Amino acid sequence: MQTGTLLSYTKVWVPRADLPTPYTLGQIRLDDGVTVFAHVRELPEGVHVPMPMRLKVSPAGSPGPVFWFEPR
Amino acid sequence: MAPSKPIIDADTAEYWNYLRLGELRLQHCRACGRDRHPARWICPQCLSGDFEWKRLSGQGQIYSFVWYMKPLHASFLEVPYNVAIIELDEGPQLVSGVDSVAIGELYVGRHVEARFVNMPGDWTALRFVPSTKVRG
Amino acid sequence: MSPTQAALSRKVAVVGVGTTHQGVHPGKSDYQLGVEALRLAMADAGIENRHRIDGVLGYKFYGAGIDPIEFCKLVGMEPRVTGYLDYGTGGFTTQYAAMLIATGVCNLVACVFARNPAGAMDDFSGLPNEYDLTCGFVNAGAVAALGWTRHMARYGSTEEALGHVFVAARKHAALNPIAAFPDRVTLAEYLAAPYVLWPFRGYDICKVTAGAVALIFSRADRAGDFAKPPVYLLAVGRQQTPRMLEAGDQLLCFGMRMAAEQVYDAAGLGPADVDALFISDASTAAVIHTLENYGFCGEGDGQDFVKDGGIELGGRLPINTNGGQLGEGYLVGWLHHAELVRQLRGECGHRQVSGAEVAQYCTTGRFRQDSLSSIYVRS
Repeated sequence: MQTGTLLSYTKVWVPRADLPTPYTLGQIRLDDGVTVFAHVRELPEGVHVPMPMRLKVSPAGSPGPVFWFEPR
Repeated sequence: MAPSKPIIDADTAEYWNYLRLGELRLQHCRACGRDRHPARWICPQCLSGDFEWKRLSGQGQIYSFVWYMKPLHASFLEVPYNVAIIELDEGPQLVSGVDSVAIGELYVGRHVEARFVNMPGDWTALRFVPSTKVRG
Repeated sequence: MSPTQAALSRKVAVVGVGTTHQGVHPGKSDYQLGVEALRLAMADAGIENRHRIDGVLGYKFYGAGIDPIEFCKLVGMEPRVTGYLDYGTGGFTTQYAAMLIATGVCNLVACVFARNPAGAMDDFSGLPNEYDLTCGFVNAGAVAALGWTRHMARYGSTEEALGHVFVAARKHAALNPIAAFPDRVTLAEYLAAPYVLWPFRGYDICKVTAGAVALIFSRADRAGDFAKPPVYLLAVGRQQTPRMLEAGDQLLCFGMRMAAEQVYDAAGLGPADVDALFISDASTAAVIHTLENYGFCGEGDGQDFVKDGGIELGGRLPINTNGGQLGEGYLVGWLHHAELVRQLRGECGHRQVSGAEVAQYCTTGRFRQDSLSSIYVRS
């Protein structure tokens, strides 16, 4: 399932050693109905919800989140 | 035996300091006259916070006791050892252990007296031994 | 009966019980066991739709057990209420369930408890309670043992008394298909066993086991809708004695006397009316203290009461027909409730107390700082 809809998001400014500051977490409802929490990247300035999103998967062995969502 | 250093906080610090000086002192409520142990910042009887550290004789009787025959805790693998509830002559009870006794030599009602034993880690334990005083 | 006591009396009934085998459950999580037990309890009650249950109570004991919210997430339940007590052993959680129903907050409450702890079948219960590490005062069994030393000194009771309690427990467990310890032990074998925490032998302190139990409580006025005859809660007595280790004779569980007075007064019954007695037996000594403090016998006479099969099936007053925590399994008194319900329904088979109509459960909590007793009846 590659696509979904961003229902809500938050920008986290509390630093974490393994993540950039800030990082964004979002609640995404996948098109098949399952809802997940995941990292969200590349949100535009005037972001509004709901917003269509696409799944991105990081190359094997890369640091950081294994997958995240970006606007479609 | 590897007794752990006691948890010393605002309530109990004075108790342990006095043990280090070789004195058994418990809190004595100045408002209602009750002695108490463990240390608390108010009297459970009258709720007064006015107390003093009263020196006790160190004399008491065995109220109850047990012998640990098998190791039940990583810090206390050397068995047998005993734990006893001592009823002090002045009334309060506390939990400790009796040294210089073998299994079979402890009994409820046996007279004991306090000993102050310096421990590694810079604290003093309250222990008891059979009383040397002659009781009438 | 006081107005507060009347609020509970015959307002609540147990309509379903479910118990798994007790002992070891390799590879199963607490929640898997809990789901099994709830399924069994629902089948027992004839409940097909779990969404009828509007209250779910769980319990965690030393890190193992059931968080009721996590349980509800797992099985897709959305009750009005979830909850658990910081000390939620048998009678305390059931009192909580009963209060939810008696006040109208809930209509049907499932109590689910399961454990699959490390050390099952090997470790003594109560490890590693650390009361005072400056003098080696550890293990819950030590508190009970201190109480027994005192009892022996005060009343001249003997180790044989504890032996009789243990022999009875194992006799009953041998008749119980779910028991973790179904092997009988004779008094001679008991006396030959080495001490662990004098005056206690290993047999005197119950062992940790794995297993699950679920109890379903209903409003009494709807209790007839279920598959089996309801078992009604008649009364609960409860009393705190918080300064237990400072107040001398609390070691002899005198707090039980206050719970006893309350429960018998509320029930309008006395010890002589009890057909089957259930005692939370984390130690053998607990049985003797309970018999004396509740007035089943005189002070100091417990050692005689338990002799000659007195507390066995067929004896004067059968205690823990399931084998108790000493024989069946250690689910902190919840299993006792399942058995007492089965006794009052008449479905205990070889363990049945003939014509049982009144059953009583007695426990202490937080090492004798809390005393509770509940009385259940058949009709």
